This record gives sequence, structure tokens and C-alpha cells, in this order.
Amino acid sequence: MLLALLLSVGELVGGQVYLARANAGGAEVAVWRYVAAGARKGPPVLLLPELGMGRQLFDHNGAGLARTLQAAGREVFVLEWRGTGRSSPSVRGLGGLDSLFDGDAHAALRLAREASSDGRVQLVGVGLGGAAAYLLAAEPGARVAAVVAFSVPAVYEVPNEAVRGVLAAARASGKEPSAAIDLRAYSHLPAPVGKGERDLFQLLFEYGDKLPGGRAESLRAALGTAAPELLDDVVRWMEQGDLPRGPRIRDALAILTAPLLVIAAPRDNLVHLEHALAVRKLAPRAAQEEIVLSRIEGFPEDAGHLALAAEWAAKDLHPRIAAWLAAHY
Amino acid sequence: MFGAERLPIAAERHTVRTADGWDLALTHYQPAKPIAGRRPVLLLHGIVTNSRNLDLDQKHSLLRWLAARGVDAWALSVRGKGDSARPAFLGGDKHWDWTFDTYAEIDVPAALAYVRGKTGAARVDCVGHSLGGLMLYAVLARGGESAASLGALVTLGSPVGFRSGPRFTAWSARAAAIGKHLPYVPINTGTLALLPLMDWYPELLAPIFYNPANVSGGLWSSFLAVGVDDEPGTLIAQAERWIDSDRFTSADGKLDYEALLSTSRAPTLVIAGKVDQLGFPPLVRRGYDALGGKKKWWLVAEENGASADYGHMDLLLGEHAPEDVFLHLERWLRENATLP
Repeated sequence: MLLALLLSVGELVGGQVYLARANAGGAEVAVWRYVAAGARKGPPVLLLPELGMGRQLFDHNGAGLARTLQAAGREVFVLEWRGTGRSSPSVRGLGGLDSLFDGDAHAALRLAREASSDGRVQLVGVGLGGAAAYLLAAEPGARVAAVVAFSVPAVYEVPNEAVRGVLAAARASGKEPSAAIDLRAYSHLPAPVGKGERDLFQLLFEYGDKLPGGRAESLRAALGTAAPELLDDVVRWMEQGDLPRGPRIRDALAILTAPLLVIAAPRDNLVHLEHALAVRKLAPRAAQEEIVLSRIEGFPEDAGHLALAAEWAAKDLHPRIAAWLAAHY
Repeated sequence: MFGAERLPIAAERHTVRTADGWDLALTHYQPAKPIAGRRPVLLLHGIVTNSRNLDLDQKHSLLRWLAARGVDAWALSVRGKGDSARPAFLGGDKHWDWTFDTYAEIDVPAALAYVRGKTGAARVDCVGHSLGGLMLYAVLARGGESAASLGALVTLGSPVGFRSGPRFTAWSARAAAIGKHLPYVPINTGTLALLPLMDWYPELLAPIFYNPANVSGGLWSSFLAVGVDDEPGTLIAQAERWIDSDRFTSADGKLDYEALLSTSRAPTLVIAGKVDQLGFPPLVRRGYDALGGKKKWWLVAEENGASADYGHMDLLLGEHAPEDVFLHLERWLRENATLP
């Protein structure tokens, strides 16, 4: 019985969390499954983290959005992109955005869908992981019931000079032909702009967020590796305004009909507010609701890119996301 | 405690009479060392403010900063603001009955014509803060001689679209729904009453207006003492329609200013403050997206090299605004000074 369970859902980790692995075309990706507490309510929810980040964004020592949803009776799946967490390492030539979006995201979606009674799923994506959610939700027959997009660039562009500079420099740091770029090591370099002694992680991710002690370093420690072409793709995305290869986000948004909860953070240095909220105009067929994580809107701070992991999020944000998902089965 | 420096002797006061009989005040600074070939610059303030927003004191003055760099610099107070004519409290032939269109159709064109007449320039560069930027957009959209007389443009925190965060949008709509029923909205009186509160508890209200990290203690009350003015209920009614429809239109709804911006050929730099609530960056960005012709987008943010993230009023009054904002806009005007 136990063996059958392990074969079907993967390795039992504890706290009703299992680790499954899926073939993603050139990589084996880790997908964490959080079994619903009590009776299951609604379709499974697939969480797609920011590129380079692991599941710690959604579950830090038993607390986080994944746990909130699990406690609310949702079956939750969390993808770890290739090169992060328990997934296989990044490999040059197999680590571009197309490999991640086509391979990793689809593999995780298949797993989530297998757990769905009617094939429907809900998606939550952060940053560039949210861009994958937009693409998945717009695919024919996707059966995506709803999308929560947290600081997701509907358009992305060069005026964010610091981000482009950081990514281009990281790309250049991958000197060995076969080497993947160690994002964790790179994150300790001094930030090229801004006040004070701040490193790249603090500039791009931690900025503006009240993270509880140890949370930021835990997230930093979970940073993975990236194939050089991944950073190339993101830089080109910023220069061209859309994905350099494969389906374009604008096209996906134009046909998207799944309801959207768009969450934007004014102090996000990686994805600017105007890039995230460009979805207002670009997704005319999708019913949209917004949360702007600012003091004016009633949040404890003008938040940044890691607000999902911020101290106040467990009380002020995660329940709102869970409630919205529950209202959009 | 609450007050601002008087304007210096170098500040010239000019008056231009509009076609409908209003006397408007212009402040003018001669350029320190005139630069041949540079067009004069006209600065436009935002809603419920006046030209002191652009010329508060020696340290906080875009107007004087430009003049010191060889630019023939002018700032307008539209009707009912600053030293411009305003309706009498009782009686008189002037009333609180104008709309935003009046600024774009009458006041700004009158000032442009006056500056051209005084300087001999065929075109005038313009910088508009907040509603002042929207005035420029509306002049462009309306076309004609005034639009043709515009040189290079800069808008600062000017939202084309009126829905920011859900809560703030609801507040704005509620305030506009109340304000439109008043003959005029007594911002000035209310602000003076609130001055101590603003000074003592900046954290309470500041995030709406500026990033406290950028504004020195006491500056905000100095500004409020001289830089704030009333607006007519008729203009607030137009703003309510903008919020309801999320469309930037003329008062009669016939002109879609946003759509008409595609006809613009004036080179325009669009500047947004990263944490600006009143010029919410996605809405400022809508203006940029709508513009035709040469244009540039600039977000004043720490990661883009500014000393801090910027709010709304600190785009003009911030302690480091000269380095973080003014240099960018002056460079834009300079780079586009030789265009026909």
C-alpha cells in the first residue's frame, strides 16, 4: 500500500508533502506536492516560482502560500525549475526560456492535471514564472481555471537599466564553455547602483520587503544555477519587449480568458509596476482584479519582489490569494 | 514656522490677458548666460497648485535651475492660481465655472503666445508636472497653432488614466463625487488647517504626495503655505468622469485626448516617479504609449541611478531632484533644441 502510494505521488517528505520528479525533455524536474488538508476543495493549484528560485518562496519552514493553500483544502504543486532545488542541474544548450517554459512548466502542469478530477488547474506564478503561467493558460485546451500573476512582466523592456546590466554581466561571468552560472555566488556581488552597501540580491529581490530573520538568506541560499542562454534570453526579452523565441506573451494575453488576479509591488526592482500592470490593456478578454502592495492600499509597506515571503504576507496577502482562488474554481 | 521665501528680485512678473478676459501671472527668469539657439521653456504646474510648485525657493526651483543653465525660463499660474486672477468671494464677473479644457484651450495657448511674442521664438519648449503635463497632452491633441508652437516637451508624473490601486481609486472617486457638488473645492483653506498635522505626522499622509526620504523637514509646510490653491467643482466633475470611464477626454466627451496623442510629433520625455501614487507609473506610462513621434520613458528609481525612489511632489521639490530629475529633463531639451 505504502509502496503504491510512493510510486504514484513520489517521495514522502513530511507534513503531507511529497516530492515527485517529472521528465521535462532534457531535464528531470522536481515537483513538490502538498496534499490537501481534509476534504479537497477545487482543482489543484500549481505554483511557479521566479526563475532561479526554489520552493522556499512558497514554503519556508512550514509557512508560506503553499501551506496556506494546503490548509484551505487545496491540492498544491510547486515546480522547481531545472537548475534549482531538487531538479537536475542546468545544462548549456538546454536551459533557455523555451526549455523551461515548454519543458519544465508543462511537465509540472501534467502532474497537477493528473490530480484533478476534471482536468482543470489553477496557476500562481511569480515574476518570470508568472510569464510561463500566462503562456500555459492561453494554450488551446489548457483548462486553466484562474491565474494569479505576482509581479509578472506583461511587457519587459530596457529602461530598467540596472536589471539588464546585472543580467548581462552575469551572462559574461559564465566563462567556461560548459559552465552554468551560479546565481547564488553571483548574488553576493555589490549592486552597481543605489545607496549604501547593497549586493545584487538585495537590489533585485529583497528591496523594500520586510523579511523575517533568516528568510532572505534562506531564499538566497536556494538560488540555483542558470544556463548562459537563459540570461541571454531575458536580456533579449527586455530589448525586444517580448520573448525572443516561441510563443509571445502579448499573443497569449490577447486570447487569454481565464480570470486573472494581478498583484504588483511598487518597489519591485526586477519587474516594474508599469510592466506588471500592462496586462490591463493586453488581456482584454480576461476578467481582472488587482492588488497593489503599497501602504496606500493598506499594506504595511511599499513592497518589492519577495513580498510573498514578507513577514506580513501570511496575514495580509496569502489569505487573500487563497480566497480569490476559492472564488474562481 | 509655515511660510516660504519671497521670490527674489530677479523674478520678473508678467501678466497675460486671455481671450476671455482673465489676467494670468507668469514668472520669468532671464538666463544667466543665454545659449544661442535654445528655445525658451514654459513650465506648467499641477492640479490645486500654482507656479510656486516650480519655484519655491533658491534650492527648490526648477525654474531658477534652468535659468542658471542658460535657459530663458517661464512659469505660468493658470486661472484661479497663484497671482493669476481668481473669482471674487462674492459677486464679480468671474466665477468658478471652468474645466480642465479651459487650461488647455485658453490659458496655456495664451501663455505660449505671450512667451513667443516676448522672446521672438517660433516654438517654446514646455515642462508640465502632473496636471500640467496633461495640459500639454491636451494642447497636442487639440492641434492647431498652439500645438504647432510646442518645441520639445517633458511631462513629470502625468497620468493618462485614472485607476491606480483599487483602494486609492475608490478614495479618489469618492472625493471627486463630493467635490463636484461644491462651487469650488477649498483646498487652500483645508490645507492650511492641516499644516501642523502634515508636519507632525508625515508618515500618515506623505506617501500620497511624496517619498519622505526625498523631502527635507519643513519643506513640505513651506510649500503648502504658498503653493496650494483651489479648483472649481466643474473641473472636479470632469475628473470624476475621467475616473469613472478611465478615459482622458474633453469635458463634453467628444475629444479623446489619449487617442489623439498619436498625432503628436513633438519630441517628448515622459518621466514617472517609481512610488508616485498620484502619477501612478502604469498610468503615466499610458501617456508615453499613446504618444506619436520621438519619445523617451524615464522612471526615477534607485535602480535606475537615482538617489532614491521618487513620489509625486518630490519630482520637483526633492532634495536631490536637480541631479535625479532636472539633469535628465534639461538634457532632453538640449538634445532636441535643434529640431525644426
